[in-house]
Amino acid sequence: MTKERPTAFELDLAIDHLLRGEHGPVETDREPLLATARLVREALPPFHPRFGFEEHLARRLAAARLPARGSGEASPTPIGRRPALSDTDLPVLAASAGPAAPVTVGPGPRRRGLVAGGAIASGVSIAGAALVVWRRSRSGGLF
Amino acid sequence: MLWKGRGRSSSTAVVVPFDADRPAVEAAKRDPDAFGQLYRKYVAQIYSLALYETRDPHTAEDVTEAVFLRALSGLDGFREQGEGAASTFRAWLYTIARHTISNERRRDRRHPAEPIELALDLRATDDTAATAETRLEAERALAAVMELPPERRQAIILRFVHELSAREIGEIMGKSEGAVRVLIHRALASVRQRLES
Repeated sequence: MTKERPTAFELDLAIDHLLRGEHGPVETDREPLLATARLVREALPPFHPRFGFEEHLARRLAAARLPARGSGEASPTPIGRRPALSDTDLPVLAASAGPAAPVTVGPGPRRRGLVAGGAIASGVSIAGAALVVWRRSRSGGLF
Repeated sequence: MLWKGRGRSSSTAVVVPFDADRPAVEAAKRDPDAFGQLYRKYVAQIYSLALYETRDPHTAEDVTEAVFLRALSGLDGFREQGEGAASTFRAWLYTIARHTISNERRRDRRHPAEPIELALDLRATDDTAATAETRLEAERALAAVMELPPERRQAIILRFVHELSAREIGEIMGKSEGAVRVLIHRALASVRQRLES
């Protein structure tokens, strides 16, 4: 097991100061390592991903979040902007969707009932009108 | 940020680290759309870590993508803890990144790592005021860091690029805070020795 040396602790405190841009207390025996720490900090810049990649990944994450919304009533809200799902997004959806919810295409059951009722009512009306015309024509005509 | 949690005895106040990401994490657990906030905050950091470790921008993108997809799918299982491994969202995310990078290395051993100077476009980040001598010195320091043993290199990158504390690095690497400090101390000593040789 590694035992922490006092110098390691002190150096870490000095690095804290360095990272905050402050000048901490400097001791001569630690100064060479602190100079190296300053150099290392300058030598290691942070990097940023390409904008195109960042947006692509945002869209993939938005697509992956879609099944988690449950009912699927709402369209997915992307990170930052609305995603355009591409073919490459589909495996993500398929992989994370789990058992698929039944998808209803066209009118729902309630609306289907209304349409059927309307059709039956129309049929009955037309049949009634036809019966009246037929009986009048059979009874000698009133015209 | 810290807050003091009071136990039964007021004399034994326990300092519990407050995860600055807690509100965003809770929001993302309730509504997955809120994960975007965490993604935007950390995407560059994870990419940067992956780029330093893989030395290949395309592989770094693949790693970044895998990390965030795993984090999104595993977010419900993340529990913030007062102490121990992956106690904060950031430490948890970096732990996922570290494992993903390790897996990628194992999978992709057939491709030798490029020299870091070629993999990273250092000219894009240069300081116009810096002299050629300073730049050369920084490049030598970078090369020295990249030649460190993996654990020392990772500790240096997490400390100096990502500005994580020794405690957070310990959580990510599965080491004690003191062990990380010693690791960094030895790493800097190695870099110094190499620069002087």
